[in-house]
Amino acid sequence: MNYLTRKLHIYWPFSKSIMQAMMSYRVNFFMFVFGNFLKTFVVYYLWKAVFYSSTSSTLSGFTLQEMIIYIFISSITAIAISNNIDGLIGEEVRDGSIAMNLIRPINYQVRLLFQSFGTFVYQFAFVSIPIWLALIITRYTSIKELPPDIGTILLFLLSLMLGFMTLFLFNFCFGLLAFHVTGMWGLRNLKRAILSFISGELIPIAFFPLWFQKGLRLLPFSSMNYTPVMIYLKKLTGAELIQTLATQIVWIFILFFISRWMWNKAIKHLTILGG
Amino acid sequence: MFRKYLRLYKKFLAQYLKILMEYKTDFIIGLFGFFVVQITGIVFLCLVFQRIPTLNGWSFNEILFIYGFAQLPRGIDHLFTDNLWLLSGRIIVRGDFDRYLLRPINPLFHLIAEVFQPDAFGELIVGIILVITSISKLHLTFTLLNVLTFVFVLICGSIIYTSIKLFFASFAFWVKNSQSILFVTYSISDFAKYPLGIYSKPVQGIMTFIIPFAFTAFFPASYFIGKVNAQVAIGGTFIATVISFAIAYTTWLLGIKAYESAGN
Repeated sequence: MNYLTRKLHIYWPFSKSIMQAMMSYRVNFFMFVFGNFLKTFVVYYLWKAVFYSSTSSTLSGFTLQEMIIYIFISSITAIAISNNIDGLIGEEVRDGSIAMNLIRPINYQVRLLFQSFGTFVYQFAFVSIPIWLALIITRYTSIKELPPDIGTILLFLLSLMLGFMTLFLFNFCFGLLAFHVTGMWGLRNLKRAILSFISGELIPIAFFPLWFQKGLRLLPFSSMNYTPVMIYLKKLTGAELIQTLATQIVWIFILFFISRWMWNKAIKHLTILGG
Repeated sequence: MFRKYLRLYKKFLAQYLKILMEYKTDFIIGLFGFFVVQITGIVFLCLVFQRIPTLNGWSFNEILFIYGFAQLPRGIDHLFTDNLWLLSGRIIVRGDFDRYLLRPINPLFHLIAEVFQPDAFGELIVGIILVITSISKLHLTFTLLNVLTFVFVLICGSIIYTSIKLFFASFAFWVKNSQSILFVTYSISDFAKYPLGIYSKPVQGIMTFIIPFAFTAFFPASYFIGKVNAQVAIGGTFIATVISFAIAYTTWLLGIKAYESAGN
């Protein structure tokens, strides 16, 4: 335990400083969040029109009310766990400051993990929770709907944390590509588009053709969005729930080993000029 | 006058293309990124339309036409005026704007000509493919007059995009960095890709009268489908264009007057 508290003592300031930085640029931060949140409203109106145009009241197992919750919970999940570790690594590789971070007696990956965790806490507390409360209140006043029970919410939070780890490790691996390619901006844009699609952020995975769904269930991406949201909606229960959470955990291990392997490879072929 | 600027633009473009050739893969990745962003939107529509016959009274191909049409003015504006993002972000903060005031050419022209953004081809390619396929599926006949109208509303739509960007980017002259407010307003253009009728009344009002993105795609595109009359579609688009540009350019001119360089 002593060992852990010592480590925490070293790395916690990285989380704290990120939160402080986000606090000082809060106007910009909230404007960007708001801009992205507008896209959620486009999707919301689109789905409403889809359900009004449909002859059946459920589509792929979703009612309109469930779909509305899906859209907003999916959006706050995406906002909470998002990080720009890949962009950060890209920048540090490009301007060479990664060299300084390599000679320091701290683990680069752990440092970035704590930074993302700071981002997560800030985004969760100041964006996800307020939007969630607004959603709960709107739902209660308009259709007298109560939020899910505390057990479901705890399971959701657990799955959300696993999703956070998955996205962190994935972005870490992705950021290491900066050692090999220069066009990271475009590549990240591409990654974002594909991720929002296959993680269930844009459309529930249940809408895809069956063979595609089966494939996505085995991959780590649904862990970043679809799984927590489906848990929130109580659409995952019993054995299926355990199995999905296990998949999330297994992928964290796999991605961890991939990230170690990529890191060691990248460091070997890193050359830094001057100094 | 006009020929001088055209010649200058060619020179700027040539310089820019040299940079582009240096970073060929970056260019292709960037273009592909914007291409995929738009493709995911279409796959979304395909998946949804497997379950419903029409959306709010619009058929799949009509929706695709509006969606594709929306990409064109967006892409054209993106191609030519991407430097406005930098104006809102860092050109003024760093005092770099001095450069544009010192040359014997129109500062706005100079600012815009400096950057050419080929990522926009991702949007343009998607737009062109969608518009062409949906036109043939919808059996729309395009007479010469229709083609001219199409080009006209396309230019108007692009100018509306540029005007909205110019207006909010010009705020940077006073507040130094206006990129976040520009980002928020630019995000509203996402609403323009779908029929206006699916939104609530306040959203429709904002899209039509305040930030007129509805005129960049929905109104003109519905005119070609035959669901909106010419007065609203073409007249409205033209008026929206003139007003937006007048307001944006005036703000820009006032901004230049208020500009204080970052001295040392």
